[in-house]
Amino acid sequence: MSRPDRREASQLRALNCSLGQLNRADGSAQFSAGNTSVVSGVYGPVEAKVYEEKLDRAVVEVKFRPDIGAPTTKDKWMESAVRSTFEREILTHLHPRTLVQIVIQLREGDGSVDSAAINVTSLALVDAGIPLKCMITAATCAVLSDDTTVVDPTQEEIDAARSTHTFAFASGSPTESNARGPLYVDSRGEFTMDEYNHCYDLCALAAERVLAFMRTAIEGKVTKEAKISAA
Amino acid sequence: MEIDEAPQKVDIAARIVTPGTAITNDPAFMRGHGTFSEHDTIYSSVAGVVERINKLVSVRPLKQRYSGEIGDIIVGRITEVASKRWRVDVNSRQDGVLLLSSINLPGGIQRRKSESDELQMRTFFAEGDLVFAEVQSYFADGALSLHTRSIQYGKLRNGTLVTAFPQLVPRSRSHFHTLPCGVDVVLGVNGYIWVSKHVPASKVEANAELIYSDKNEPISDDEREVIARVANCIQLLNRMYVKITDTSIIFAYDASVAHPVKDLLKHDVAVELAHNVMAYLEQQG
Repeated sequence: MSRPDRREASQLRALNCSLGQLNRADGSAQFSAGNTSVVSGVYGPVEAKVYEEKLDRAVVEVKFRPDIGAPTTKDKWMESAVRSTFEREILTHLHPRTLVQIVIQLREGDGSVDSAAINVTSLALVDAGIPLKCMITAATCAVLSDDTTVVDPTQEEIDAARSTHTFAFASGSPTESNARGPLYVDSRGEFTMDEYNHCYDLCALAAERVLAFMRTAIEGKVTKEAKISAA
Repeated sequence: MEIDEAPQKVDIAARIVTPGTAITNDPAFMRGHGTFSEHDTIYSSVAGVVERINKLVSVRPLKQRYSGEIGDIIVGRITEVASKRWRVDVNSRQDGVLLLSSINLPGGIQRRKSESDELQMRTFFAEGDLVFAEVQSYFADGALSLHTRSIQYGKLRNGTLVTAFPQLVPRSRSHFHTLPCGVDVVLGVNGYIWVSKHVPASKVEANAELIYSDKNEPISDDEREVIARVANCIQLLNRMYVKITDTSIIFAYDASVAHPVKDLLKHDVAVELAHNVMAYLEQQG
């Protein structure tokens, strides 16, 4: 069955990103996959309020704003998902008693919003110079009613799917001994273990491609700006 | 995704890395800022350029919040009055701390601190005041400890604050400049810059009791215009990413005289003036 936008089953939509557009934030990034587009601003490390500070590490706070309407429980859930994923990868013990605030604004949602939110947060944290153990990239898969699995589904495909799965991975060696496993997993719907494993593999490959894309963008920016500041 | 092969020593420096990239697993190297180590391998924790100085490997990211070094001259804003100290916003990850024992008490440097000083801390610095200070040391959690134990430091008056990127203010021998146009400029290394009416040093020393006064001198309309012009010049240098030093501000000011003060913030004027300044600076070498 061909996909509405005529993509291959494992083909991602056109990816686009830019860093540093918000000049008042410590770091910012925009990321889009097809029509799904998110912006993120990162502020920090900044002074934390006394009641929320931790004595030995930085506090990570995430705010997620939907494209339409006021934030609801779904958005709160997205905030806690992003926060728990990044909390362990940010080197928080380097900045005790501070706050790292991540604000994500969904500009347009057309499926795979949670993986876009994770990808844009990775980019914004890198732009802010906040120390990380690794880059985190995510991808979403959907198992359709005819049992085919498609990567980076649009909202239309998600609505018609039997199950959807989002995985986030740390950048690093793919060898078995070093494989860290996924940092974030979200599976919804009815599925078998075989379908789950198949989605895992497809998402790992897709996340690798997103990582290569993000690395190229970051390295391009660093090269260009290193020339300016060296002058 | 492949782990980059541990490069030879000559190849380490000037590589561009992203978080999680392995830099080297040679045990001879020590790791510096922007790196972390796991199982004898040094990884990068930020996106930037690898720098190697002798045996120290570090990664310099393009952008980071100002983190003070001992001896830095900075401008800060008092955010809180606490027990025997003030908390100061210094544009860094944490507020700086100005201890009561680190300031000059009015009536002479040798005066002993009394109990009534502790109870009247707002007569020295209150919330919202701007202070010109030097970084003395660090607290255990990395917060900066400031002091104003010199006649040139202390409360700032008679002017306006301009905020710039900390990377654009280089560390130099002197951070307090009197420009030929008759304006004093304090270049805080943390990016906070104070532009004010020129007050002769002799006048400051003569009035030792008034160092914590909140009253401005009278400032005429012409003096205000010069202050505004210098402030706008600094803003445009900041926007065009030009280093902010007394020479670059003077060049920008001289080049800007042809334009009305408020036009200096327009994009095309700013670009033109910034190119002029960069050309002058290149000529100087």
